[in-house]
Amino acid sequence: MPEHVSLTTRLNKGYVPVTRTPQLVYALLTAKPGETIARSRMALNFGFVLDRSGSMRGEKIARLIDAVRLALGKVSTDDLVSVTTFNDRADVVAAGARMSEHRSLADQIARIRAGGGTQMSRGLSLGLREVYRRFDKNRVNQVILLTDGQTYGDEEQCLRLANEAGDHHIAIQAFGLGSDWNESLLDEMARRSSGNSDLIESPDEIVPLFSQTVERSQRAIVRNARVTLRLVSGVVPRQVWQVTPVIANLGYAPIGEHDVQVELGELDAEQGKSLLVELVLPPRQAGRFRIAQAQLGYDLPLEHTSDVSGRSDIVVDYVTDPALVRTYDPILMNIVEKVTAFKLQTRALEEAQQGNIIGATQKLRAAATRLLELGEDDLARAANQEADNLEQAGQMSSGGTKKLRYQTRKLTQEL
Amino acid sequence: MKCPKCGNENQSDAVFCDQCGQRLAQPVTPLPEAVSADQPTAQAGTCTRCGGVNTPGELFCGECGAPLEGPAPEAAAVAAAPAVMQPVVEPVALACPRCGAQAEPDDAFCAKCGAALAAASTTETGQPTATVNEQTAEPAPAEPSVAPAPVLSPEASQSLGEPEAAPSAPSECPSCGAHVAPEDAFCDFCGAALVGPAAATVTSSAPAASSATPAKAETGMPPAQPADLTATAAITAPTPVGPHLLVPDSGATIALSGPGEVLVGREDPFSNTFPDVDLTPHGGEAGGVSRRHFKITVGEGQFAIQDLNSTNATWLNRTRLQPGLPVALHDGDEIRAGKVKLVFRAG
Repeated sequence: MPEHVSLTTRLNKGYVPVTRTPQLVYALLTAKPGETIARSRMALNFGFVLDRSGSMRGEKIARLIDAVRLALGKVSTDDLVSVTTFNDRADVVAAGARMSEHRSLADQIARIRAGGGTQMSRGLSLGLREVYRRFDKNRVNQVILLTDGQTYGDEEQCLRLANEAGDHHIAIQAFGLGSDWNESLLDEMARRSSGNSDLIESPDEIVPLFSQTVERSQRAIVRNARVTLRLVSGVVPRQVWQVTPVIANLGYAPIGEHDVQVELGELDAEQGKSLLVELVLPPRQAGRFRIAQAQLGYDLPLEHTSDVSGRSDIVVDYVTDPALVRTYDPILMNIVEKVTAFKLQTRALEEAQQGNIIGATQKLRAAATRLLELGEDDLARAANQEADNLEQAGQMSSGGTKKLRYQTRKLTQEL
Repeated sequence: MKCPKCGNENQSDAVFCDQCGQRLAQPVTPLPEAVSADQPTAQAGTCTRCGGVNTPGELFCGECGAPLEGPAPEAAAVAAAPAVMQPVVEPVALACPRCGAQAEPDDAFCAKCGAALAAASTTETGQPTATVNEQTAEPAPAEPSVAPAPVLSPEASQSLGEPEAAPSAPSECPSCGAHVAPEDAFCDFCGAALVGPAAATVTSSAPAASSATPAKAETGMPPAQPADLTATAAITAPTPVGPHLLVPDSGATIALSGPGEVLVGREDPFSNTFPDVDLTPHGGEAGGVSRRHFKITVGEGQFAIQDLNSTNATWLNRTRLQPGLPVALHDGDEIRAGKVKLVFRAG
């Protein structure tokens, strides 16, 4: 019987040298739904929560209206949809209902006008209520939030709402448009609700991003995916990175003497998820050793079932031949280099925030070098520009910071 | 060292408790976050650009991102390493391919069942197979090109009048001394390979990362030792059609009649207990199998297992089952009733 979701493993090198010291190897674990379920699609319960403050006037609000209309064209007649807008106050433009039940939804959306200030928590509160009112555990229950400005004075309320959303299994997909919004707040809201956050650099990008979000949610056919790594004595995990669909530091939880578990959450039907696991190996004599076994557990909401994959052995050969240990897997090399660039820019942003200008500048220059090597000229320029800003003005630009933060996450999307 | 299970005092270097067999936690040697800078340059992963110190094997410097040289083998480490770390070592007693009994390396016939021992070392085609003598040889690193895997072909076994290829792996890990089951391809504790290198898993582009089905694709022959019975590895023993249980220790198969419920346990005429599957001939009594241990529900292409409040518990893929709670059972799942290990096969 074919597995619903497969787990494959590969190492950056199959041969490690016999040494006196511990050494590091990188393992890539890929969880991917099989063909039998990859064509399935989840039903949706979507709430759009849209900023219509004064700063959204002009092209921004026009593109936003286009984006919502186009995204709604991709949902099925049975999907549940609501639309809420906010500025100083919040309005439910369309209450949560099946697409087939909505009358003149396009006209209602087209009548959205920009003006006023920004009180995000008000819109979020009403929008969440609409999704929660029609909550269905067999659907993808989500809020798509878009804002282009800072919300003033209600950040704590926004975070509390994000907590509540997470508790009720409603994910917030938070999008920031332009450069004048609070990325720390949106990142944290997404994290607390098990959603995602992203940057929309220009109004033109709203349309494709909204459509992609709808399609991606329809493909979220695997839930609660988790990898269990059974390590042999002496092997220690150092860090666990999600590398696709975007780079993120996942961390891991010990669940036994030698076992650790990594939570993957939802899996995309077509893309799945990949992890990069850094493992520190103990010294060994020459010979073949299994260093770990990996197993994937997951839920399939469409089939109302849970399952586990077969166990994959991760095996290395300790050798004394110097020629053998210089053989690397080029795909793994490329992924590690991208994760390195992501790590460097993350540390640069942290050090800049802590006031360590010299350290942050060095990290940014190092990240720029890696990005150039990877052919990411645009991001490399941004990193160098921000290093210049730090040296000359002592601070980074808001737009450049956001570009680095969100674009380096996506480096692995071009594998 | 005190056993966490039974409290028995053991020697400080004991791996398992003398009293109850519980694995004892070994003192963990703290792993340095980064190797000290007085190590040789290549081994310490010192960045030649910024001087940052990295763990050997790291591909890029954590400080400046510059590519790093990988560590090279150390001659001193090879010479100095203790023999106990050898994954495949000193001569171990030859196991009879028929009954699994231990025999001396130079024995021609098994002292217990009389099977020819030397015959198992060659196939019809004269290809050498996995014997203990070969395992004791210096463990040569696997070549990227495919080398003949140490397998015992079923045809050869049949021509010799042997019912099936029996495991010949050691019962103790030659590397760390931990107890290992005959079907284990790797030691559970230290990871050492217990059978010869499965060269088919090695390719130049993606070397030896995943090895669920090692030798079959390249050699056309099934491996004598499945890499992992719970994974997708093929089982070479003849199997009955339909759902069945495999006893890895003996290679025996037990057919499960269906549809309906199949009671698995230990026969006891005194209490008038006659389970559908009696594990007594498979070490049920010594292995702590209850009279009514678990049941398997056989449906149309679907299977479930339920522990029947057994004394020594039922384990599915090393997870303890809650008594009375049915759990879906899939092809290749490992079941343990007390200490008796079984593998479920759907067909």
